[in-house]
Amino acid sequence: MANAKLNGMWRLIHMDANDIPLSVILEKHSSEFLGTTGTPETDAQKLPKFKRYESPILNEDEKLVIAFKPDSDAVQASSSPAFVRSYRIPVTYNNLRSGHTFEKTLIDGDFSVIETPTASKTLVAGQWVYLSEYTLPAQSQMVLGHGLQDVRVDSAIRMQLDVNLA
Amino acid sequence: MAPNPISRVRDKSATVGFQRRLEVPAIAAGAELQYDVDTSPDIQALLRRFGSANYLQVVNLDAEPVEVRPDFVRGRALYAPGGSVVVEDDTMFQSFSVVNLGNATTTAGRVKIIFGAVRPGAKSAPIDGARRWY
Repeated sequence: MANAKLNGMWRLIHMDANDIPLSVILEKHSSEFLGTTGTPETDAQKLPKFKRYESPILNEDEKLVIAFKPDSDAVQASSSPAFVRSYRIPVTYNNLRSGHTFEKTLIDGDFSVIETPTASKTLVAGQWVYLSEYTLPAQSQMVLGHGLQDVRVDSAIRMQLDVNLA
Repeated sequence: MAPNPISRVRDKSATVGFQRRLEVPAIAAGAELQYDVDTSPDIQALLRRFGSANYLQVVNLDAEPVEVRPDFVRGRALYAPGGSVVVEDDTMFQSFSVVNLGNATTTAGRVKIIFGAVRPGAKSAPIDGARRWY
């Protein structure tokens, strides 16, 4: 039993406070995010960049949900099942009360867990799994992406999932 | 004018809505089967005309309990015990999944899903943001 990076399709979904998906913001294959098991790509120049103008505006209480669809079946370990989520999601915040706008990078610790690792459970090829969600706090708005001051590194985005496999 | 002239069939159809019945294949215990715009011709047909569905019925003739999750969201799931019919209307979804919560595989065709966009307002077609992108 050992961790392995899962290959598959990643999706960022804009959901409202009622968990109704409003739009798919991004869909990319894990091969675009490079990285290997235990070593997510850290060189921003190599990672894909999110174009901020493609993002809808997420309002307070709405959610940014990360979904994953494996390329092939992945059976989790029968003991000590584990997920290692490595996210790097560039966003731009707007504080509605102060009117101040600032850039921020969401990492895995910012997200709440939806799918938890489960012993012997199979992540089935071609089926979406909602992994994590980020709920916008009060009095805030958010769009995905950073301003492109330096197109080589700004707005670099990455998602990786390592799973303890059987 | 005749009450239902042939020239108005398309308009009339838009106000009546959309309905499909799916017979779910066998699902192993604990497994999930997903229907969305990428995989289901019925969902594709629904979205093309009405943008989203607002009606969901689960007819579970099987012995195993199943759960239907609109938009794959666990928190919005409808729970259908074995031998039950569960209905939700005035809802909204664009995809759904069926999860077998029992301890044995369900029998193909014993779980049926009826879904659609029921009776959109006469003045509201196309409803729910359906867009012509083609």
